[in-house]
Amino acid sequence: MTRDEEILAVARAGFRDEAAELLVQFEQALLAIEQQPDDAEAMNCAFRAAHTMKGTAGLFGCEALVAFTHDVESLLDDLRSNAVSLQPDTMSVLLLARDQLEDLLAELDLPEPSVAVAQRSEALGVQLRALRGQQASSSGHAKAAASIPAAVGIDGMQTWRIALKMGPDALRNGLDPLSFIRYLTTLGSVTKIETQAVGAPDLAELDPEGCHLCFDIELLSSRSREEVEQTFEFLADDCQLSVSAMVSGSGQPADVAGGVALTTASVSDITETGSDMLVPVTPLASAERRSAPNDRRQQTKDRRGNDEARFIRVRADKLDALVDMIGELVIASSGAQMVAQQEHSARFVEAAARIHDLVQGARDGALGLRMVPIGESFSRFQRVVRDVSKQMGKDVELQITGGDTEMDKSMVETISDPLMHLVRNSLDHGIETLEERLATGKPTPGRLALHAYHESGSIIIEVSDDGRGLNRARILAKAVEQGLVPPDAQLDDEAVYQLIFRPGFSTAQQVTNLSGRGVGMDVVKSNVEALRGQIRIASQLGHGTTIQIRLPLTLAIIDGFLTSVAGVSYVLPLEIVGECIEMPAECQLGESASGCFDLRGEVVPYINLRRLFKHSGAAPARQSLIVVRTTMGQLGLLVDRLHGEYQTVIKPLGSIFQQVHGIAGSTILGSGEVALILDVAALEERVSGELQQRGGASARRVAVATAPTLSTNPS
Amino acid sequence: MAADQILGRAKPASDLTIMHAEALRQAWLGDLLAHPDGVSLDLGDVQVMDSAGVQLLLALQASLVRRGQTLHIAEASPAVDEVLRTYGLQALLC
Repeated sequence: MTRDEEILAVARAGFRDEAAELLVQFEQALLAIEQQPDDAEAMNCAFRAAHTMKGTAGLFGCEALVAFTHDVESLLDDLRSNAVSLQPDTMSVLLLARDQLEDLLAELDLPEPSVAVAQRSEALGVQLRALRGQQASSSGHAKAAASIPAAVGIDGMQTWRIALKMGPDALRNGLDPLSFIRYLTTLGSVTKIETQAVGAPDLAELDPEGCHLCFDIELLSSRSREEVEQTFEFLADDCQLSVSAMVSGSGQPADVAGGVALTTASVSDITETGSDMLVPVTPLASAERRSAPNDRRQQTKDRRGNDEARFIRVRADKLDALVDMIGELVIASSGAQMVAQQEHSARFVEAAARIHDLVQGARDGALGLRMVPIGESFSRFQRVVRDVSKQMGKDVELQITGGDTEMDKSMVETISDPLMHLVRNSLDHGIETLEERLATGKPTPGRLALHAYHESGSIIIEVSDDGRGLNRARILAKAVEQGLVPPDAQLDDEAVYQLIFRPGFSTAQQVTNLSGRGVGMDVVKSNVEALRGQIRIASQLGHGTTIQIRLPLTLAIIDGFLTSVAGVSYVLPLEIVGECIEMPAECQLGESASGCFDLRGEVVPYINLRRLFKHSGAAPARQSLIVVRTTMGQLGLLVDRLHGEYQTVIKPLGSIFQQVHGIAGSTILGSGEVALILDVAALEERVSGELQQRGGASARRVAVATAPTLSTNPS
Repeated sequence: MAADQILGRAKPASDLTIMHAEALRQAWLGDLLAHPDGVSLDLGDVQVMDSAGVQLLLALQASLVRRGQTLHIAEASPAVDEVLRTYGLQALLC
């Protein structure tokens, strides 16, 4: 690449990032207007977003984007100046336009523009103009993207040629072309249809659940192209569609799908209403572009004035390098403190302590840079809930609380897709239709809640709904049928609900409009566990379900508590440590790695780490017991020696240690020695089986079940 | 269809839908294709058919054609008839 091309590439990347942010603002503004039509601030925000995008797109010569955004901007301008009023479908069209903007942006990276995207631009453009009370003829501005209005035959009837090629996952995604083609017959009459299986697979080659079909259809109809195309709207991602007008009697398509130059044949077909198409467009486009830089400078000034918090753009890898450096600094500082103590120099000890404090501050600051409020990723669910609930005819309200709870940025990205899947699951299977809810006396709208908060060194995210709840009996029956559990297994509620995370558990009955990105419940669980988290379910049949995801706050540095067992150093998170006591007498009994002891009248389980990790050698005469707080209550950890607080930089363990439950990572002590970081929640799970068998854990239930997010029984 | 032709006969016990697609495919891959003159399907009791079912029929036909054999649909329920006509595949019904 030449130097100029490099500069342009970097600038273009910056534009895309900025545009992505603008789209987020745009969508939020649109959703706000939908709830509150007279929200002037939201209207202005939406207009500004569209206007800024158009201006910057013009700078980069993105014609298709400029043309489309122009229509969006014009409609918003008319709306905010009250030149036109909101129609029932205005907001839906604008939200679709926002999606189209996203697609157009994505196209910038592709070598060639896509036909389907261009067609959708045209279709939506017509709708946007119609909402402004204008005729459906395209404005002079959209030259290259527009196609010629279809030749209209006698009686206003037109033959449309529809070529539909299905994507391989359509059926798996619950989309059957049969219903869409049946619907076509309500728009007109299908004069010809040819159905083929691409590649003509025989029985041995056939993928029975994949879709191999392609169709060649001729439809005689008085409807417009947009109406015909809209028939297949829901198939959008799972098919390739082209709709073209056929010149009556000629049997040939009149325009090239996607529209390129005017052909001689079609010029003669243009009616009067299309004549403004022939106005040369170039002067207008370049005039727009010339004014765009000035507009843009004004816009950024406005925006800066409006922003309360100022942001700068930082490269993620630079930030990671900084956090790593601080990690090393933490280790070095601990080393210096150790040396200071060994040297018995009071002044050195004091200096080392001062450095330690400063390093802690720097550590917190650096980690804080990586933390983003989880509310940012929650907000995109508003759109999903709105769209899906409209699609399913359900009335659902999304409540988001704890949006300012902060989480490490890298984790936010990994947890987003699983959360989306859980939300869609609740919408799909959890919340009932309006009729069902009214019939069972449940309040409407149905409630879907996203709640996040910090607790004992973790971040908790809950997805809960007040819908049908899980059917324990049905889940167990299905699991037995699939051979996942033996028929006579004794499982408590939590264990039964956890069965839905087993791969292969979901059945064809659940094939709906969920987008097929391969995110099933088993992938949700594995994603959560990959982040060293846990996922739990509580549910009440008829009342609702709550799914709780617990994740560590950060993957980088924690305040630790150092202990040792048989000469091996173990670190646990300082936040969960409650108290340290001498080993109670009852811990000396028995041979097992776990048991229970009496803590001021309460029965608390404990784990003997020496036995659990099978350290050899005799235990020292005086062992210590650390009482820690866990999700399920309290837990005791029996160790040899306590070494106190220790700032711990977490280094990941190699992949061969993945199967070891109970160790979350490793760290390097100031002395250069390696210490292991305990995963207390995993340890607890590991021994809870044993404890349950001995009846010690019967009183312990997941705290989630009594969470206030489940609606109470209406009575 | 002469009376002395040796045909494989099958009557699916289930609907011709995606839920049963794989099972039907396995069943038909069995000795159904072993008969020299083709296959005759009795779809008279099929209540529901979807695109996966249509694909199965097309695939069965492809398997037979490759052997120089033919597929006959001896009986078609109203559901099967409607689906095939919607897809313009009524030729299969002859």
